[in-house]
Amino acid sequence: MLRLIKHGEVLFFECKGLPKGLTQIEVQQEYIIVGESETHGNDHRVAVADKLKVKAYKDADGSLYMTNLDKTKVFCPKREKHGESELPESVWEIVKANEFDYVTNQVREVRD
Amino acid sequence: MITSITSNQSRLLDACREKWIAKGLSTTPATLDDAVRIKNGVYKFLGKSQVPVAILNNPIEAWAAVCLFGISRNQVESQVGSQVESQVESQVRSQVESQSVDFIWPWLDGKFYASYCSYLDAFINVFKLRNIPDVAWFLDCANVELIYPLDNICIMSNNFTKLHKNEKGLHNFNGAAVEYASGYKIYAMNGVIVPEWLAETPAYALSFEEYAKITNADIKAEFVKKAGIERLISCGKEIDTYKNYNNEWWNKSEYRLIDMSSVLQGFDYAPHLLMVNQTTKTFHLEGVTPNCKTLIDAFKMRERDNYADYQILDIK
Repeated sequence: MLRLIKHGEVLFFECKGLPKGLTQIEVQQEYIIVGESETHGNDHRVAVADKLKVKAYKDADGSLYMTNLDKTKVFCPKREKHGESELPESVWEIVKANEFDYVTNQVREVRD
Repeated sequence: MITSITSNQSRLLDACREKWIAKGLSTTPATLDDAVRIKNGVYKFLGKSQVPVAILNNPIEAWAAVCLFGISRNQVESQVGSQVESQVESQVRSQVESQSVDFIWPWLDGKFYASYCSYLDAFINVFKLRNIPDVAWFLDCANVELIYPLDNICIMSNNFTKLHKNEKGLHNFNGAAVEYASGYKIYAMNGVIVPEWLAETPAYALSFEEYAKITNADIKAEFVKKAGIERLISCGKEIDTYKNYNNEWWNKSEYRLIDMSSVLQGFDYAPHLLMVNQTTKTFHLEGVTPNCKTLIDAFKMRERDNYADYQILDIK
């Protein structure tokens, strides 16, 4: 069975492989931001200890994917909001959870 | 090299820490005499000619004064360098930056740098280190907030006059968390910047209709903490519950589907997903589309259609 990790509104769905046509994202820091924070910089990050072992990709629609050859961590700068989760080695699609806004009658991504 | 500290030094370190925490959180306004003394020290250190000083009531007024004196962004930006992160500084900074176009946080940010001042002070006055540059002028800066040492005038912002915080950051459930003499206020709960109405409205008067208008999950969570989850969902009707399933993570998260249509005008059915944050143990309530009749429907809508094909490994 494929695995799922929920880190706040950011969801890691395990994939059997990467889809075709992805563009690799250059990792410039010791982490990848996989969910940006709207208000106070508490974004969701994946730790990158070795850039050869953790790689991130996006497709033409901007959807995020990643591969990690070693287990790594998902974390937020303010760990009191969301504790660390371990991300076992695998291939992952990273998506934001949806919610329905009863004021605008629209489905939108959950934001924090 | 310092390899051990005496009991007297340990006591002095405690006193040093308390002194700088008090200074960093002080609500005592600086006087004009304080401002002149601080300005003199800064300009002497910089080797610049002495200039007049203006001390304004808050960071936004100070920035407006900088702009009034015709200083370009580039001239000021070269002074920016502070990377200090603290509960108070980061939240005041983000709020001011969000309200003032092109605002630049200066390199000299006075009391917001109290943590670094305490470090310097300890080496000078507790460990009696010699042959270090004179930093008295720098420590004196902690008696005000922002300092813009411009060529023709020195502009400062005075201290906040009221401060409410808890261990998570700026916090006041019943009014402003930070106030300045001019009336400028910052509203925050548990370290989350919130709209004025949420902080000023008494808990008993908060309604679910107001909750539904909030688009940010952190602000929603603070609304729930203030209003109380039981009162918030008391007008709702439970449609489905984790108790109907045998799932470890659903049990931990206490997932429930609640129809809130009785308090949302124009809807016969308005399902919401109630869940417990596994880190903070606080409740979140998110709207799901009206076609969701069960928790499984809700997760298909919230996450993906084939949600049931996945095994949950962790929720944080």
